[in-house]
Amino acid sequence: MSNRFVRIGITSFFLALFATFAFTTGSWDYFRFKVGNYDRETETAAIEDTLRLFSASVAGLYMTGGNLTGLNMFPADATVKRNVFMDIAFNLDQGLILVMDRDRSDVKQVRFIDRNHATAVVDEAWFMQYQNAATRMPRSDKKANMIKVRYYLKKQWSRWIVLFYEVYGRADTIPSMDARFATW
Amino acid sequence: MVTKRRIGDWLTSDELLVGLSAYIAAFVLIHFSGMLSPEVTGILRVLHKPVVLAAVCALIIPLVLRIVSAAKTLRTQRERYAFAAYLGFHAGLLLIVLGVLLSSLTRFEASVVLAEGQSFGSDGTGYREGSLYAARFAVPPDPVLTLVHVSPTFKEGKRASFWNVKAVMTYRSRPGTPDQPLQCSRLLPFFTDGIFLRVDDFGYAPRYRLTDAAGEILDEAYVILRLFPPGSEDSFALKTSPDVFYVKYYPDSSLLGAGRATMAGDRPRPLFKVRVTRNLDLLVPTRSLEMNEKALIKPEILSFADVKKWVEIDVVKDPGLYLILPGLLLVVGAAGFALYRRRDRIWESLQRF
Repeated sequence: MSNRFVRIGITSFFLALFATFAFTTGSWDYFRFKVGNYDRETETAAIEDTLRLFSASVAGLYMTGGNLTGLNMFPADATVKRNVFMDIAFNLDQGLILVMDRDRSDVKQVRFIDRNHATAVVDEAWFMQYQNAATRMPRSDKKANMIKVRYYLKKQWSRWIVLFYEVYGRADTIPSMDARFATW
Repeated sequence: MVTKRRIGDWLTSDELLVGLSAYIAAFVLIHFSGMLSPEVTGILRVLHKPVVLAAVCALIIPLVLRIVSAAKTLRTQRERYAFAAYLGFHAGLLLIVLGVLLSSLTRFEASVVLAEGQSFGSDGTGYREGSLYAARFAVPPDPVLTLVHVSPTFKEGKRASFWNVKAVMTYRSRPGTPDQPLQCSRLLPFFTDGIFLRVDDFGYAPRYRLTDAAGEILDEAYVILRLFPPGSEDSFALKTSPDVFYVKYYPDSSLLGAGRATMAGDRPRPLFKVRVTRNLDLLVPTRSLEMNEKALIKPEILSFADVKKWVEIDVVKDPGLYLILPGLLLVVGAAGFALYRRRDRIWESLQRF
């Protein structure tokens, strides 16, 4: 094969590369992420902050019977917020509030799917008790809730939020993640 | 020797052919490398992108020039068989190119999820969300499908697992025509009336039942879950409750390997493994549940009353395939024939190498 053909082949390859980056949305960002041009340490720290705020927000909402102060700070998707408020409303109907106290939280693994999607596996220990909503008198024993949670996070407007999460027992094996997650 | 045609002052038809082919091949390879997107679509969907389609269109020029030259030479040359192979190879490529163009205008592709006994009539709303791909001039097929029976096979190897599913269905090309039986599988698609049907996914749909303490049924439904191969976990939640039900299913069948049987324990099958959470509260830690056995999830009681199998079927209608498939056969046949004719020379080269 002559040099001219080789030159044409190489030129075509670079043209294809250019066309891909120029006309495929998000491809340049994903390529930079794949080749390691991504500040994982900063983003991991941001995710850990988000998860701390998430736990604090959930505990605060339950403890106050759904006080809306700080709802905008709650780093969660609307479905997650809806589920929390559904449970709070259900408890209040019975004259109860659930007091949640987070004892420990160890982030075991943070895995980035692309620049805007990540999962985090966290070992959490909570103590939970139902109390009378009016008098705050205990209505149940304190329950130790030892769980392993896999959070699915998405970066939205420069801020990580929890899209959804899966709760496991400490002894449970975590299955492979939902393959459709990166498209959400 | 086939004469080289010049396209303009600086490019021969051979060079244009090599350049365009390299461009298309590079584009496809880049997309399949997984470096640009976590999603990988089928090869035809990549070729339908305008930046590739333009190159595919341009391929027609050098291919036609080559075919014309080869056809002229064929009449005068002594090595007719070699030139016939050359002609066949390029005619095959031209068919593929024309097929891709036709496909980019007319391809229809979608997925249907059906449980045993369930029917699908395509009024355009029953396709799985996000699976619909219709080109500008695509004519959606209008089949009526009823899933009669599903039989899965599963073999778990040391490194990889193998599974196949046979789906027995009845098919009506359009409402009002008689039913015809059909069988398709993951490995062997079914072709009728210009439509390809292939099993793409399989799973179990348990029927959960929520009752109150008095035994009155509060809610009951089949849920499509990805519970195959046995040991796979999936979950469902109800719109009216924050509870999430995580389920594993071990069916009563011989398709399980020994390892899977151990995971299910010694309890009789079919067996479920269930975990229930309410937001961050682990209400019911993972526990085994036999069919119709009850588990208390305050304030309700959960049980599973039945299990059906479901399949996801790819429905593809693409007139372009009528050109692409014969084109592929022609290319492979012509290339094989040319290699066979030159086997002595190839063998000599290999020995020298």
